[in-house]
Amino acid sequence: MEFDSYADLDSPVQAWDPRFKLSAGFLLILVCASLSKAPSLAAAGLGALVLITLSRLPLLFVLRMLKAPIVLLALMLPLLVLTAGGQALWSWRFLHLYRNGLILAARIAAKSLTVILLFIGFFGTVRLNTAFQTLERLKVPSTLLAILLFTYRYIYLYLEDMRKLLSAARLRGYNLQRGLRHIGTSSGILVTLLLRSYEQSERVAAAMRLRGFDGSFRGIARFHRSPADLLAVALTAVWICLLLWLELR
Amino acid sequence: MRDAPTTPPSSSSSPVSVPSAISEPGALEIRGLCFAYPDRPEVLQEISFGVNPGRRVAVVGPNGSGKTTLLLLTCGVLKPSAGVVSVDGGRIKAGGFDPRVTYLFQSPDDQLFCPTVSDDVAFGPLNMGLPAEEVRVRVQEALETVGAEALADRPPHHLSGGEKRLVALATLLSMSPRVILLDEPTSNLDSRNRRQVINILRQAPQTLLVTSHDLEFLLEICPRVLLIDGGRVNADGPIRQVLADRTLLQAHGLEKPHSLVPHRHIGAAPHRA
Repeated sequence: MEFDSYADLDSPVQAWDPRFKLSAGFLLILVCASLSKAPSLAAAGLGALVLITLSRLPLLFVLRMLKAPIVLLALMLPLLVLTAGGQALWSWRFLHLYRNGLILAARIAAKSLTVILLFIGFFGTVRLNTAFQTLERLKVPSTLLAILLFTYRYIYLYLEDMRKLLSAARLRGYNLQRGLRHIGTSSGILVTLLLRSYEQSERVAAAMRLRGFDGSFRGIARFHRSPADLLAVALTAVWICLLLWLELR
Repeated sequence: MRDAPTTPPSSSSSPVSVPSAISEPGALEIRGLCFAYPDRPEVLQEISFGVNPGRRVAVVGPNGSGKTTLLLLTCGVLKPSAGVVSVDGGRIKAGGFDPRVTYLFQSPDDQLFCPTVSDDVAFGPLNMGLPAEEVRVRVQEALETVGAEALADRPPHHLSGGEKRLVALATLLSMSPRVILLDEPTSNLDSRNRRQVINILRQAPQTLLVTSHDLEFLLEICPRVLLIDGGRVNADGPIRQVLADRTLLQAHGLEKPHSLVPHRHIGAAPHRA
């Protein structure tokens, strides 16, 4: 499933002009990433859920997008709770559950999930090609856009390449679990992948030049500004002000 | 030589004489082309030939004979150490963008780098500065030509190998080039996709220069062939004549195509002396 699979749904979020949506979304995400107090984080999280609901993105799709970050948080946060220090809420032998750790873990989890939900709500509701075209218009450096584009396009290819190389190596006795004994093979596989990606990047650059690429991404998407777009920007501005007020009061 | 064969296929044939540059649309002319890689001197030496507009020419040779290098020099990806490539009488500059000449890479993954198929097909026309409406028409037409209209909104990494190849071809056709260079266009294709590529290329009005190890495929689409080996053109002539010369082919690491070998049906009575 692609990140922009539901970009064409009929909803107020999808209909929002991408130039206004991505600018407002970027600013809101920055503000949310700087929040630290519980009331402001709660308001941000609630707002993110409202955005996702308005966008009519299927719950399963959103959960699938959240799966990797949740797994990462589930691996990291217990360590934080057990090692933060300070007042212990519960102890058993050498294990201590720290109050500070719990608060910090809850804050990190709330903030990161809110930011990811906002990212899905703002960026997952625009076609990728339109998003690149919009970012180009918003003066995002084309080198950064090229890196994003190629990461998205070629990550699957290199994962597949890596699987093939690992299979070929396993068929000749290589075993990942015997790491130290096979460290030469592991680094060989990595170097092969790096060399292949370097060579391919040269061919892709040649293919782009042959089709007239001069550093600018062009698209055929048409942008239309409407009063609804400005209203949405105004609502986002109110939301940002509310979050800042809750954070700074 | 140009398309009318003047050089009989021979393993010892010398480089052919080339007429002066012509200015018909789609006319390709290569004169005295030389190229060397840092670790491989003299990959190509004094390559000269011309192709009349709308003609299809095959380039064959063993692995490492310089077929891909020849195509990369022709479209300007590589810079020759000597020699000139011209289309319609105008010189092709290395490193520049010239929509008259385009190149189909061996691997379609090198050619498809956009988020969706339609973005990829629109990429060239957009960079040519065409208006959005014309770009849409060209994308539609190119996808129809290769029979890939249904794939327009699909991401390239979700396509099969055959679909990728057809879409890669569409990315070139949408630019309406005069000369198309094709590097192994049928590699890794199943029979159905291979047949589709053959049908598309046979109907293409452009001048085509095609390299392939699939000699049966070349027999179907190209009336003329160049045999390259050791950095030189070793034969240039009608494809059925050149590829029927077993001695010549064996001398250059090639095999006579099966369809040109007279053979009895399996099960026929063995010949007794």
